Amino acid sequence: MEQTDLVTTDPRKTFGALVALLVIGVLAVALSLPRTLAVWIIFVAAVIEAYIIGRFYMRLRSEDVLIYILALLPVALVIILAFVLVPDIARHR
Amino acid sequence: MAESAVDIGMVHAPVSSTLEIGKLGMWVFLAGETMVFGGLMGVFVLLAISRGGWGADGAHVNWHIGGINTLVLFTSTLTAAFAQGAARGGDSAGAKRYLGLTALIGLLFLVIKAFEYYGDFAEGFTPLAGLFWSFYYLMTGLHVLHLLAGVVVIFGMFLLVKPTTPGTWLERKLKYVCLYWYFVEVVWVFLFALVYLTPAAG
Amino acid sequence: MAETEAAPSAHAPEEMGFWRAYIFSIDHKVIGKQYLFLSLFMGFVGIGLSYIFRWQLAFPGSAVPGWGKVSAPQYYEFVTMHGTIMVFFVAMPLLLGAFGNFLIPLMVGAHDMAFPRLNMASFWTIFVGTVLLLISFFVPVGASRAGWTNYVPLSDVPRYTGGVHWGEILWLLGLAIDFASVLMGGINFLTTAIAMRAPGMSIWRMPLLVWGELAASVMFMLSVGPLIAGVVMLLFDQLIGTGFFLPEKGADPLLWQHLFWFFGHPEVYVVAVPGLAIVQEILPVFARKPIFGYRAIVWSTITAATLSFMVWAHHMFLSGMDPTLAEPFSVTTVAISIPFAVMLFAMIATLWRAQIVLSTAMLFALGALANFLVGGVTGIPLGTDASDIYLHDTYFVVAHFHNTLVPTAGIAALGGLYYWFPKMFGRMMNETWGKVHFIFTWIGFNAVFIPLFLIGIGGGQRRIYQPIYNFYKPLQPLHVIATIGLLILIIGQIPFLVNFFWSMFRGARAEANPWHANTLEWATDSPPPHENFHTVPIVTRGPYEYSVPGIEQDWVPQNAPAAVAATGH
Repeated sequence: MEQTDLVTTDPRKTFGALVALLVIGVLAVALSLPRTLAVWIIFVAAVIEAYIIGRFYMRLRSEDVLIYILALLPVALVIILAFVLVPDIARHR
Repeated sequence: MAESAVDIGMVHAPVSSTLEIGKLGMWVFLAGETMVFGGLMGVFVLLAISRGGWGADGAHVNWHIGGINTLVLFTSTLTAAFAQGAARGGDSAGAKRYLGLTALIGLLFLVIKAFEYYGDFAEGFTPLAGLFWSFYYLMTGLHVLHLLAGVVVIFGMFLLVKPTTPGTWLERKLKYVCLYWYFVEVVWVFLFALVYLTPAAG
Repeated sequence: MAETEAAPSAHAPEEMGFWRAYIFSIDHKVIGKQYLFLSLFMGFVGIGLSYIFRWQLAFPGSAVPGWGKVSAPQYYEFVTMHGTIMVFFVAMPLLLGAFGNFLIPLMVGAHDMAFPRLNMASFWTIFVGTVLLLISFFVPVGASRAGWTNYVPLSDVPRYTGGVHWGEILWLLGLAIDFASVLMGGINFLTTAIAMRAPGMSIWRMPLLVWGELAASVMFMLSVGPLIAGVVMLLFDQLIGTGFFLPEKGADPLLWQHLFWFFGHPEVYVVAVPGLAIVQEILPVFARKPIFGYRAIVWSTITAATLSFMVWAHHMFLSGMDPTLAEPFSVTTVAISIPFAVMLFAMIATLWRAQIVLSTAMLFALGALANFLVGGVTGIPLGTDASDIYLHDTYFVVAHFHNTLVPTAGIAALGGLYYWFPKMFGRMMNETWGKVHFIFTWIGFNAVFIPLFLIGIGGGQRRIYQPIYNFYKPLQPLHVIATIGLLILIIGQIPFLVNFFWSMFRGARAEANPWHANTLEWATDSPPPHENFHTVPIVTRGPYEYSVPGIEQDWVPQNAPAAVAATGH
């Protein structure tokens, strides 16, 4: 059952938020910010964009727990895989 | 315990009454897809870390065009959300228009991408130009294929929908069709960050 | 209420014409049988390959009867393709595609899968993948020689395998297409079991086979992605010359092994879990006792499935990976033996003080149980880093995984075939010839692999074309025994083939429930009508109520009226 409050969220607001985050990410590069700072800004902006898409377009919050698990479990697994691979792949050989 | 044939005792009803199979099936599919793209991205990140960033290899990635394409894709999901809103309100004619618009904007993404690839090739940045560019073409190429499939399906829906199509039916179908489209957008969001912005940063 | 995609207007096969009824059918029962025939065919291709290379191993340099001499490249090609075919084109399509497709809708009381057309697409997809793989034998320089694990850089550069290029490309494509097919199937299995169960069937009343198929689908779906990524990367390398895995291009060859085994380990449980689930279905029926510890088995299955994602590097102890990873993965690997041990104890406890009926299906189930025990126990010295240093890449590994994969994908699957044959084809198989088949199969199988354990302990390395090492030569008689065992195994399949096909057309007509079993597939006709059930079954109890105290009949179907339970509960 969908909650009515989400149904009334205007997609234009979602679009606006996404564009704003896009601009932030692009500015981090365009303004030649120091590398570490720029990468963090870019990464955080991307994660927030993904969250916004999931929350306001995909309406993940109003879905069954099972859907939640289906959406988030793969992400967790990829992170675990990447983590285990660090000693072999990410360390400078 | 009562003895009617329909008495199922204290067992609660199966989950089935609340989960629409189209949506569930789509999420199962997307979970698998997340592992594919996630795997590629994870490996890409690890290799970048091992080399201390892509350095000169990644410096020539065309993030201007990438940024424009991101804006294009954001617009297409806006129209997709409008299509869902129209269907919810029973306006099938409006939904049809928005679906057509979404497909068109998706096509625009692909056209811009084609120009971008062409430009990269012209400057000598082919898939053989180094590990970064191999990943670039593999990941964006895979994304392009998924986006193309999405455009085809949305265009198919556009053709299928008539002003007399019942809104409830359309709303249910669009729930999982647009879900796929939003997924393609999420993948792009991370691709743009990883493959365009990060190599160009600093 | 749940809905399905529109079915074709004609329902009964007679109205549909030959092509829609038997070739491009969207009926899960037909599709299940298509998978069955395809995987049985590929099973014989795979056994044929093993006949050739096992003859070479027993009598090196001699001409294989019916084939001729085997060269070293051919040997590696056949060993590679044997493994590839058996895992990806026999075990999975048989256990998931055939049994899963045929049984899941019936067992949950649905009229078909959630997405019948996607189901049909999944079969034709694996058909295409199979064809591509078989074509690879006939392209210039032949099929892949890089082992079923296809390690780089051997599989990355044609020069390293003596020129295999198109064979490698077709191998990769065949696999990718196979994966796509199983993913499609998984979407159906999960959606159907979650959203289309009959009224009264809570998840705790689902048969263990459905649980096993679900666990397998989830494991597959969540693990195959990174390997698909790896396969596409390797395809790029072979097709256009990128260097995703080449050290000289700045990449890491070990990456392939990690990506492969991150999938590869859950994959072997994708095979093992449904195979064990088939045994778990057969045992209660022919012991006339409930399965012992139903919930324990379910939780063990879920635990094993979860842990299966954390053990993969036990295949890589000797790969040159960071040694820091060795201990954690040894710990997780030993831990994963626990849920399997619970499952095996539960199955044995089911037999305790039971009225055992030694039907053919039961014999195969018991044989599978016995050998899986051997396979599981021999996995422990392989999964702990210290002992694996000696045993890795010896025949001990080969014997271990054949004692897990064959009992599940072969012996249990055959048991399942004898058990569900009446439901699938509406006729009974001959029990006497079935028992002959069992004796030859089980004795032949053990005659192959017990010697192989001994060869492995003696240091005999696998993937060696001929025993050129002096320390290897005393082990040669064991290779001869193993090959003779294989001949017994192969000969034993002849009565099976005759029985299978003859019974399909001339066997005694089967009643709806010849085994007096409880699960829902037995509550309808043999074979079931197109829509599976004439009326939607109402489930009132669990699947394993056999010999219930206070009830005269020693079985109570899942959809029996609730009043039947009133006396005993």
